[in-house]
This record gives sequence, structure tokens and C-alpha cells, in this order.
Amino acid sequence: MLDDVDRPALRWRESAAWFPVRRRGLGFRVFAFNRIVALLLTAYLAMHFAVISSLYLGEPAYDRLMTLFRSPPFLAFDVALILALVYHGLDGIRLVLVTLTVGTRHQEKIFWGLMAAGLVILLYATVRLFRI
Amino acid sequence: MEDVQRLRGYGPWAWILQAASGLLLLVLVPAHLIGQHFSGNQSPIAYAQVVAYLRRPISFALETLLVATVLFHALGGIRAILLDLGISGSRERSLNRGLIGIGVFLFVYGLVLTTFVVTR
Repeated sequence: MLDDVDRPALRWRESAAWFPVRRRGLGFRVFAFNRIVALLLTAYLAMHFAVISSLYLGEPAYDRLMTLFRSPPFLAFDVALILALVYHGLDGIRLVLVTLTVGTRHQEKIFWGLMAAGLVILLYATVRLFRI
Repeated sequence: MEDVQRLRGYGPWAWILQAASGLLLLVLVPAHLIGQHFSGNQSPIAYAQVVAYLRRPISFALETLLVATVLFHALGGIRAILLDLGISGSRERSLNRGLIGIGVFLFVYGLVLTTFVVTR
């Protein structure tokens, strides 16, 4: 990590350094993808704040809205949301481990192990959401 | 992973705080999802269930901590991405002030909303 002293203004090509993923290892590709997922989750957070504000409208209006949200298209959106949360959270564990230099040599195995755990969580959440 | 550590957006402290808040969210987000979405017989839960859930002091405390942590983590992430895009100097200070302002506003908004719900 560089400190503040060594932070020159960057040209665009350099400034987007976290995004080009060619010729990068799995760790960097996953990190870049995780940032895109993070931006989507941030957009969802803003939307979530807006939606729960409907609590101000009172019980009948809120419950009508929730009935709509229990329809299959919205539940499918919830599954996509859980997928994003699980991916972001579990890859975050890998990033913390890398920072602590734990399992650096095995980070590819760690990544796929975490993703396997994530798949189990996602399947459970899908079953719960759709009452399969 | 040296590539990641060469990125500028996270100074050492910003990275530690981002990681710590992320780890806390690994507990708080599942707690929120189980309490608010998977606890009843339907998801999302109805208004009356939201009220009943938030009236439990432990739930209210967890939700308040969640709002603070998720805002810190999300806004810290946006800051890191923008700093990686080359923002520095006075623009960085303005960015910091702006993000703190947004964070404080949304936290107070969330607190007012949950307080409104439990006092119904």
C-alpha cells in the first residue's frame, strides 16, 4: 500500500488500474469483480432505504407493497441479491486472510472452498424464499 | 495479491477499518436476514412482524449497529474506488466531508425510521 505522500494525480489509463483484468492472477480478477458487485450492493442499499421508508405510509400500504414483493420476479431478485451478498462477503474473508498473509499460497483453493460454501448458503436461501 | 496492496484507495488504517467492518457485517447481515426475512412464515415479513421484531431491544440494537456498519463499509468502499480513480488533495478532503455528511444523514434517517416504527 502506498501512503498519501506518494499519490500523484493519475492519468485515466493508470487511474482505472483496478479494472483491467487481463494478465492478472485469479486474486486480482476476483477483487476487481468484487468491486463491481460492491457497487451493485451499494445501489441496492440506496433502494432498500427507499423501500423501507414505506413503513411511514402505515400498515395497509406497507403490507400491499410486501405482497407485491412476495411475487416470483421479486423473489428471484432476492435470490440474486443473496448471491451478490454471499460472493462479496465470502471473498471478503479471502481478502482478510491474504492481508494477514494466511494461506497466501493456497488462495485459489480457499476461494473455491468459500464459493462452495456460498453455493450451499444460496441454495438454502432459495429454498426458504420460494418455500420449495 | 501484491497487486491489490499496490492500489491507492486504501491507506493502512482505511483498509483495517474496511476489513473490520466487513467482518462485523458477516455477523450482522445474516442476523438481519434471519430476523427480518426468514423468521416468519413469509418473506418479506408483514408490518406487524417488523414492529414486533424491532420492539425487542436486542433486535433494535443489532439493527442500529447494522445501519452504522453498513453505511461505514459502503461509503468507505466508494471512497476507495474514487481514490483509485485519481482523486487527491483538496478534492479528497471534499470527498471525505461529503461522504461523512451522507453517512451521518442516512444513519439519523434510519434511526428516526426505526424509532417511528417501534413507537407505533
